[in-house]
Amino acid sequence: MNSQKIIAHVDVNSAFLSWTAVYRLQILGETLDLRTIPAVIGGDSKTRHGIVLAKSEPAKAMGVQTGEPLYQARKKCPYLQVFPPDYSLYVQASQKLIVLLKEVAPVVEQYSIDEAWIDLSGTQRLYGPPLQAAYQIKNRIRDELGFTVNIGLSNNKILAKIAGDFAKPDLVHTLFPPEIPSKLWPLPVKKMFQVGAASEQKLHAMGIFTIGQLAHANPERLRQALHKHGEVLWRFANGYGEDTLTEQTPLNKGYSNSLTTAKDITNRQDAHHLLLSLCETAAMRMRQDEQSGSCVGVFLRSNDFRHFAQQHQLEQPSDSTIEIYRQACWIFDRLWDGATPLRQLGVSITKVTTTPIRQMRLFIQDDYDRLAKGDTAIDQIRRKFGENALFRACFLQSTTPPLSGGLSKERRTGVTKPVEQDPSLSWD
Amino acid sequence: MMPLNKPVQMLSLHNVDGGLQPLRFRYEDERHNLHTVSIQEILSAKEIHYAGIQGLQYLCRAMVLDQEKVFELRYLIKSHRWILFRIIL
Ligand SMILES: [Mg+2]
Repeated sequence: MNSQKIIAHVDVNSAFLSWTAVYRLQILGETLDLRTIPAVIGGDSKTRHGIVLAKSEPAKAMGVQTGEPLYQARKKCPYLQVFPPDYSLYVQASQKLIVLLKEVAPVVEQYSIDEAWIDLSGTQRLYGPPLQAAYQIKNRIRDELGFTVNIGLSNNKILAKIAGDFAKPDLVHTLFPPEIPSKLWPLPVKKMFQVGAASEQKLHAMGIFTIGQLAHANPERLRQALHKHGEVLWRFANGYGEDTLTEQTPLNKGYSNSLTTAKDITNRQDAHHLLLSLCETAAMRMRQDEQSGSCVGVFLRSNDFRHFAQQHQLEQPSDSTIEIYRQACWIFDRLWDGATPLRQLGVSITKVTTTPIRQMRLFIQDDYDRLAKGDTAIDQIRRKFGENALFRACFLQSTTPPLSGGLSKERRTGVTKPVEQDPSLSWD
Repeated sequence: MMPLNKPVQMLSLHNVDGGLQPLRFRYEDERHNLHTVSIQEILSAKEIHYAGIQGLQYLCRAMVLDQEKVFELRYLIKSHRWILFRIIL
């Protein structure tokens, strides 16, 4: 045999929906399988927070998309059934999946709550040929854990991930280098790993519509149009990619929080309150992981679905709620015209590093040691007495909750997906 | 009528090897009468992890109100509960 690695990408089909479906069948003893009807997992539909977090195959067939608002999904599919997410269940199911994978494969790299790569190199004599091994693993997960997965097989991580995405559910696909021209190149560029809407548009503008065209494009031209990302995509399209798995769960690349409000936000003070409550949770999560971020971003969505976003670099990395909040307000004030009614606000903190020792500054506005002590004390009190034990006085008269965005215990202890451009959740 | 997917009172045997064996359980019917069922045979037993929730599944045969029945009992490890999950035959 050659020295090529065998990498498999395991991805739970409609993860949140499947897990809830299995729970209802196997634990609640219901007979209806949510995977067989138009159903979604989504936030509370009575308030306006609801977006589609995961969808069943029948819902997908009717055009329902992950990330869209529930009311929009209902328009496409009037009989759509909506079920609330159960994050503690999802974390349990995810952990069991990883335990099972670690039983069968020597190296497992978890990528998100419902995805992992496993290295099957050298397991031939144990499981037979890779394809056979993949089928065994897939079926074992289905039979033992009750939910289905897709497995993609190749020689590196990217190709394996793309293969796993081919047709769903409950299938194994291969995408080994000799298969690239026939299986990968005819696909539209948006199917390429890490091609978002923005990159897709730029590629289209260059006359690149398929992954094959991307693979044959001049990398220099791609670099001019898409910077370093262009070259990365060109490498992926030609089948080059990392084939070494890292066991350790990567820390969050960034922290973000957003909230869709029940009413339009039309005044600055309400917006600032909301930003503060978002910063509280994001910064708490960050401190919990002992991380600091040096880039603060704010994004807004108006009531007519226009998006605005901007980010700004801090002088040095910070994990202080107040410092991040101040930066967020500063960005917000530059971003917002003071009139457009807003429906969604978000804060992100990126360029994250392990919290360093703070450099002394020549001109200190605040006593950062005192701020840090304050943050630590607040975190401790909240951990001990609950998240609502302590909140800032400005929230007393405000309708804004003092802590917004995902902070439930399950979410915190669970594996969160690295933050990319869009902070909205998508787990399928 | 046997209540389905409900916790039941259980008398069980814990073996020295960690094995767990249901022997006899009691359920309440809709008229609040108690019925005791003695398990005659365990047809199969296995560990289950549906949706990541760990439990033990037993397919058992017993006489229930003068009728022979085959049913599924489950022991949920985290909650320490015995569940009469479903009647098979
Ligand atoms: Mg998935």
